[in-house]
Amino acid sequence: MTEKYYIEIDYIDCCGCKLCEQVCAVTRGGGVVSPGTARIRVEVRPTLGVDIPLVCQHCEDPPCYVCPHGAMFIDNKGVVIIDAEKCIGCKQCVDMCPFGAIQIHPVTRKAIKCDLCGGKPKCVEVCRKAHPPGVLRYVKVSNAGKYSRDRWADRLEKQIVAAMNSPEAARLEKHAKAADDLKMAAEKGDVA
Amino acid sequence: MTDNGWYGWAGTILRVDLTKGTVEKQPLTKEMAYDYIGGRGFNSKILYDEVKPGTNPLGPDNLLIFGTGPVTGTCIPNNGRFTVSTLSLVTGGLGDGNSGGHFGPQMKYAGYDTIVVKGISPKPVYLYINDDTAELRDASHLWGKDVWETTDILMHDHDNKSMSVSAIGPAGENVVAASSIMNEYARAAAKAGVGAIMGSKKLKAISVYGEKGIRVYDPEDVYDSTIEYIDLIARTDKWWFETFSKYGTPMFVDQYNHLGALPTRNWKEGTFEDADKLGITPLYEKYVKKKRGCGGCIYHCSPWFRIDEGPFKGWVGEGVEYEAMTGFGSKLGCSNLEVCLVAGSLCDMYGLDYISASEAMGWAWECYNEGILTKEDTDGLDLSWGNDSIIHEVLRKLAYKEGNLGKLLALGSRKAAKKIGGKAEYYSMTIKGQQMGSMDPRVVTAWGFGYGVSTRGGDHLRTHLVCEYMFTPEEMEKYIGDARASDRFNLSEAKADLVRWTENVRFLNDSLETCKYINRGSPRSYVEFPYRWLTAVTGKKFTYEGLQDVADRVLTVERSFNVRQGMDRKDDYLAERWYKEAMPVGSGKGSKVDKEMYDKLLDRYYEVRGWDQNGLPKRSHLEKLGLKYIADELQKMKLLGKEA
Repeated sequence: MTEKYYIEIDYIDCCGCKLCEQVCAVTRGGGVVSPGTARIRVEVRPTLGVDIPLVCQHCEDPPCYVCPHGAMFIDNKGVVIIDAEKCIGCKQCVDMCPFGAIQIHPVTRKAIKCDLCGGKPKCVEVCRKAHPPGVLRYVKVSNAGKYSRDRWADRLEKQIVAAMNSPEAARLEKHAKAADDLKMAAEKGDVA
Repeated sequence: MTDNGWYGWAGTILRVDLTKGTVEKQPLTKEMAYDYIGGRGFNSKILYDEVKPGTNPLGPDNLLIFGTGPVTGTCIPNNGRFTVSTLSLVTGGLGDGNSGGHFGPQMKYAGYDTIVVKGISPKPVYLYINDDTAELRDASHLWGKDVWETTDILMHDHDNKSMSVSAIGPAGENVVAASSIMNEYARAAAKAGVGAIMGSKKLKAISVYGEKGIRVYDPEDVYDSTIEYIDLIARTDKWWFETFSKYGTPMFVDQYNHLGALPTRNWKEGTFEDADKLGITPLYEKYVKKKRGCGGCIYHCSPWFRIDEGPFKGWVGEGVEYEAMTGFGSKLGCSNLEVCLVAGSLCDMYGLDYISASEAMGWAWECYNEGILTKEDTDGLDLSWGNDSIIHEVLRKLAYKEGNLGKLLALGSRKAAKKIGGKAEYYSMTIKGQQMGSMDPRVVTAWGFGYGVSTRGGDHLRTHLVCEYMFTPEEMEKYIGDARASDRFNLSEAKADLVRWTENVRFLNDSLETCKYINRGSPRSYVEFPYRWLTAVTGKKFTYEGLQDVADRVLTVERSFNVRQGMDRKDDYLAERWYKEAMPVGSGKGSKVDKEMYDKLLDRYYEVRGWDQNGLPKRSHLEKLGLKYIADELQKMKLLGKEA
């Protein structure tokens, strides 16, 4: 089976600059540059310091897959795509997506959504260049969570090393006597 | 959007008359767009044409202009900026403030390049913009609220957290000279008392949300040039790209202190013994939780902080930067970083400019410590250097004009000093009444010259002279015409040429409306990309030379505005202290500004600008730039420069 990809989002480090949104609107907006023509949007919450990019997750079982006119399909790489020619602009897919990742184009009034730019998503490219390593990453579904796992492990790693050197780790010393205990047990027949 | 024939520009200027309560849409003209580009260019031109001599800054005839540029809202790097211009309450001449965030892009997406506000509303109002809908609405429920509350209420009332709100706080309402206009909680358009001008007009806020959108002429090259540009900066300025993204402007505390240019105890000294307590080490170890960026930012220099324990537990804020650490830190002899952080957030809520607020405070502190101000003047507060327990109280007094001290500081230090008289005036460290960024000109001398000639009064951003130490002598020879300009330790007349050139390329930042931090070491970032971007975005072919002409034109329009307001050569000098007092301590010890050389620089600068030796624009120069009407007007007023 062909490997499936999606855009993984680092919700903790996104700075809310909206370059991804702007790049999408410029290159894929159908001639109109506006948040309304961008297929990725960033919600910003300045007082909380929180910035939340929202884009199609290319769900395995897409709730938006309700098109009455056969305009929506999943290609052989698992990408959920809307055929603009067939779309009748009924907006039901928009209503069904829990993330608001589908929009109605202000001029054509047809539904638009992320199609991963045919495998080279420009939002990912610009984010990686501007904010290396990038808070948007184009990853294999089989690697979902790997980045966050690595990052978290890297953080924990330091803390674990520190804990190992702390006085509490003196409990390890108890094991000095453990060897003797084991020998005694063996003498009693407690041995595998 | 409807196809109105424009690419890049939205094509519409919004005209708001608060006295009449009307909002009208005016089409942008091609001449305006091509001759003035946008942003500060439009603003300064409109200001010259429509604000006549004798106008009261706080009266109905003064304008408050919000201007975006043709690249605002595209994906060109750091496009999230806009300029607010007005007749300055502080200098009496041209005034403007530039801000970031998403307000500029939102204005564009809603369909407006520029918003021109005139008149005075009989009652508090806010301007509500949502695409084609643009109307004045009652703001009596918002009057008296701080910036953050105002923003929250508007977002809640309109059920739209994506809208951008630009608002004043109590400082603007109370017509405080140090007031700013804040957008998205923590982004400031500051200087010139812009907040006070907005307050005097009874305009509490502008809320804008847009989806109508704009068009770009060549989407492919807009995208390609963006990627190429990021690559260029990441390659030619690797250290900067990485370090600035990581730390933002607070890193300058450590750097300028090391160079001996960190203003300390007002501007008496340039080295602060406790700078390490205000620098990036404590800031990033304990307080900064993440970095945020303005629209289209390729860095994200804005540190978002939260204080988790102690007396300030729970305080959050954003964009707390160099000017907060030096302004409320070293300038007041305060070494408590938490006090600086909270002071920054208080400024954002009250709608105060860090630089202008701390300018007035630094002045008051020095006057108090020199025995010029007494406890009677300070309402019993002890303004001793390092007394950090009263800083927040003084900020509140300033914003609300409370007591003797609040009323005095609200004037700004130059006017306050005039009121007190004597040595107090010597301690007001301003140029044309306006304070500049906090880098001591005795150490960064060419920057200092830029402060002096800046058309909006003391200001480091008209030049933002990083190319001085980034360009090689060969590059200086090529672009400035004099290799000596790259020698940062020796002041020569070449610096006048350098300042003129840098003012021109920095004007492009202010007219395309991009952040100044994007241009650094590579000459290509100044000379190639601006015209390439403009051409790709607008479809109109621009060249390097053509843009130099536009910059010369706008700088001369701004100068003419100031000349018409009564300014000339005498207003282009730095504060007296910098010529008289050598830096007493630190690595800049012994340095001061050589007045004789400064005069030579002024002579040379006026010459290359096409102004006479008194700083008045000449007819020949004005006509060359297509400004005959200004020449005629200045001649009538006997303010035209003498031809050599």
